[in-house]
Amino acid sequence: MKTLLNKGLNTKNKFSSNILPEAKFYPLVNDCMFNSMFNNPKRKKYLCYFLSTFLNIDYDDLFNNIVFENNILEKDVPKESRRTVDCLCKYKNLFILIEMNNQSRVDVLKRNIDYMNKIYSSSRRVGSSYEYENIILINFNNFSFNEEVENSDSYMYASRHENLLDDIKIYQISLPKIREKMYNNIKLTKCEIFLLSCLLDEKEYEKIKGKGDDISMEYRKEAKRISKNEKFLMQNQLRQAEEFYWKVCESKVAKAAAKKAAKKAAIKESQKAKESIAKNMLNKRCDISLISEVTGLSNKQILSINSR
Amino acid sequence: MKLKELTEQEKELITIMVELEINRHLAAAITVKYLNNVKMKEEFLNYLKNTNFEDLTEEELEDNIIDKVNEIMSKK
Repeated sequence: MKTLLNKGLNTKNKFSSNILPEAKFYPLVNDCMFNSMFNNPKRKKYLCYFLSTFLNIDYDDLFNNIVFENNILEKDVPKESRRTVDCLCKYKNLFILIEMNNQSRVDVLKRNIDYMNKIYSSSRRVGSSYEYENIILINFNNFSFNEEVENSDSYMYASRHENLLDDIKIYQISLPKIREKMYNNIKLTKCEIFLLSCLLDEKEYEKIKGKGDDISMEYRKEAKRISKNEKFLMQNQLRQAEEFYWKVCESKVAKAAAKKAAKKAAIKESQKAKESIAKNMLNKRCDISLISEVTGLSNKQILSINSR
Repeated sequence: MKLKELTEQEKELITIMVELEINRHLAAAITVKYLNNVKMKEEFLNYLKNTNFEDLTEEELEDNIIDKVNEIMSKK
């Protein structure tokens, strides 16, 4: 069955997470910047603006009712590693989970579904009735899917005819696709202009400057100010070290897998050599017990070679 | 302060801490936040290289690491 997640990923027009040299701020795809600008009650106007234009919700209502939730999820078992989501907030009875996905990996998207499910069932307690939350997951993807038609789309558990339920919804926003749309001079929505304002360096930003609301300019000014902040830079430095830590872990896993595969191949090779010796000895009418002694193969294995 | 690339020394420190299975957040904090000069990092690196942690439990290992980091920081 063809699904979005198995279409293959594409990194064309991907955004860099390093500082934008002319605009002098870190783009929104930078995890620390995302945390400072979107996952921050002090700057909730930016998140609210995005959500109101993306989900078509009244900005003032959103601004007055949105609550930032703890972004560290509860553990199922004490030994489980800590699971931190990028941004989790609640608007009235709706949980909104937002993830910034910089790594072009399908397993990260699956992990986000796991996070979402955890929040979906978070109000369930032992002995209580089956109660579940309303939740939407918004994936900001710094990549696109091959053959992806829209630059943003929503997904539900659905059959060919109808949706299964309406309390879970997943949105995929492909940021590079929005950039592509800008290059192709296709009319951008307010939301897309705002997102590009959070991502583009000066030269590219010229293409959309003045087209969006004032909040786009405000965002850029604030982002520039934060990008000089010592605390913010330290966070970025820590993030860099953590990313390196992951890389080492991944190469450790890859090395172990390669070692295992090499060992398996060596065993197979040695078995082949033993069988070849056994075959030659059988052709020379040697005794089976002698062949077994020389090659280490069992009588049954030698007889099976003989019958091939 | 400017964002710097990780130095080879910092990368070596993190690599050893991955081998020791020290928590990612702690490893990052030790490397770039607590041990904030080359000399401190060097001392900690030598400690990691010359200490046998094999018989320690996860908690004991973490305690030893934190004690050593505190010791190095207090000399500053």
